Amino acid sequence: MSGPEPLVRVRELVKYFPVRRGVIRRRVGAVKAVDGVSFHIREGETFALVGESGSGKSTTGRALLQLVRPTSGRVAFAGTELTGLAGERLRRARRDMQMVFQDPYASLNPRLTVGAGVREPLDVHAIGTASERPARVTELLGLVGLDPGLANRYPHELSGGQRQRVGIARALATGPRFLVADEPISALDVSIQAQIVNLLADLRADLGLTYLFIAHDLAVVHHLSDRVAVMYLGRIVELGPRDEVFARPLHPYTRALLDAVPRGRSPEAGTPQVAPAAEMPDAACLPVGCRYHPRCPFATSRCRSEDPRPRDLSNGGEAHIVACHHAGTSLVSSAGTPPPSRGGIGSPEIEA
Amino acid sequence: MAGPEAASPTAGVRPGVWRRLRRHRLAVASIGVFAVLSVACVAAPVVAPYQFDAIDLDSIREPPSVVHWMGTDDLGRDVLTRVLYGGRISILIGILSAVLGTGLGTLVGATAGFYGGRIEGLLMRLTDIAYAIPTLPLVIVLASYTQAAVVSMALIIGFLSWMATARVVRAEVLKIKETTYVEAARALGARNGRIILRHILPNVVGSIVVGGTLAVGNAIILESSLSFLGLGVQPPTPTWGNLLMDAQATMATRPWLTVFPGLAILLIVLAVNFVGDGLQDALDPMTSPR
Repeated sequence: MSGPEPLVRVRELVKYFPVRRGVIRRRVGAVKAVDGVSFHIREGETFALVGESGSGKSTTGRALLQLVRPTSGRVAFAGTELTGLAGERLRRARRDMQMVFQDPYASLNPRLTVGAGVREPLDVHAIGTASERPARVTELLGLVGLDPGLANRYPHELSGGQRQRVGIARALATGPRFLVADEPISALDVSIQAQIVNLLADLRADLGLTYLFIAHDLAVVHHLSDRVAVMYLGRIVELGPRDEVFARPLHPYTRALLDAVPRGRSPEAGTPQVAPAAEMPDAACLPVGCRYHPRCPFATSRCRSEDPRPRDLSNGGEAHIVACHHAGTSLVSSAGTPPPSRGGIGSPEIEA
Repeated sequence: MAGPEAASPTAGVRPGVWRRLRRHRLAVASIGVFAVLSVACVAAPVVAPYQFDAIDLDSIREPPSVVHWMGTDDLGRDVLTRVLYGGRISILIGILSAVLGTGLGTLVGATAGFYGGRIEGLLMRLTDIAYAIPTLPLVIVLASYTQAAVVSMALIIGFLSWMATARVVRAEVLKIKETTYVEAARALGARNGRIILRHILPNVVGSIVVGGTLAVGNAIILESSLSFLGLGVQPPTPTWGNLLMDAQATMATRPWLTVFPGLAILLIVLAVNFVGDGLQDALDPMTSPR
């Protein structure tokens, strides 16, 4: 935790979406998409945010970039507080932090050619002179492994993988330090996923990028991330170094996610299955106490009444934070759960 | 698609619009029809065989013949000549007011849809009010205060025909502003103006073009109603509208007086619609090559 100030610091981030009903659109409640999330990301690090759909992980990424305005909480980027920024100052800050979107079919304007789309950030931020920009576009397309001849094509003429490369080239155009990758491979064919993951890994190494990598696929996260945070219903339930979280998951939900990773063989005998009992509850109508208790096989009466506070359960060294009353006790022992590092989705290709 | 224009990676916003338009045969033919009619009308003083107000009492109410291709009217005036002169005003009013009305509608609709909130409420209620006012009485009032000149007619008609476009554009903008590519543009730091002009409106262009082409026809017809009421362009200056209206009573006995101006309106409106159709396809890069 010590050392230089991290590149990104998120404190008690909250985003509620109002639920309105009736003719006069009266506010009748709120979807607590993100409900008090804190973490930091160091320069050069890849921080993974994992969770089911609806857990608030995408909203966290968007609120961090101020694409949705947080309800409360603070986001500092390279020492600058972003939550108060607006207008021109926010626009300029965006140069350093960009986003790669989940669906490459929806994230490219169908009426702009590839070249025009990749060029746009250069125009927006007046990077280089107008005559230099075509060369920079060619360079960017090369950087993401695309034939510069594709510049005159329209998005619909490209494959999903090519489109996602265009999306990455566009995000890199301004020369950002930080990228939020919002499930950048989950809309792609399995055969393409590994290529994009490898591209992101190469770019990180070549350009010294810092990533917030949002995913629901733990196999990918294991390959790419340095630290992992697991989100459930708007909260981070577990946060720690990748190997720690995979080898010694402390929260029952993390264990359930790890069990869900296909390993290409049957579960070893003696490994207790902790699959969630039901669907995730509605974020507009949260359970009392621990949010995970309706699905948790270990839930006790305390879990049904008292909201667990995050605790650091590391054995010295890097923090390993978990929000569970019973984490680390014999009730929720994680011994015997093998790390799913090998044989996960796409792993053979990733290693290649 | 790469082909000959692969030279510059960022050449133009949408290369190939012309190429796609040229594939649309009906649109190309319509451009031809429109051009020929417009040129003939503009050049009416040179092309027309007679003076538009030349009365020839020796040859009144003559059916079409070699001398008078479209016949003559009650005062012996040559119908072909009057159709040509009439077109100068009708086409001008039609195009001018359609451009004005569609432009205004797009501006109102895009502003309302994009900014939302109070701005949207205000603009859309204004649209509702403008819609609720019966057009003809209002035009009559407006026209009685202005000179019945072509430009003021076009202004009046344009200002009365923006509401439909505004509603359609607002609905489309509401939809498109939620797309990921608009969010992506915002994420990369684009200003609102750029987002509207470059990311939203190009994806609404289909509805705008359709609205615009329909407005041309409506404007020509509205102008003719005004002329009929004596509030449009004054006789003896002909417009297609007042030619048609003047001949209404004699439609059965002397059909050439209504058929030819009617055909002219039909041709222009059809041509504009087909061009609009072709343009809509041509502006859409997803139109596959045929």
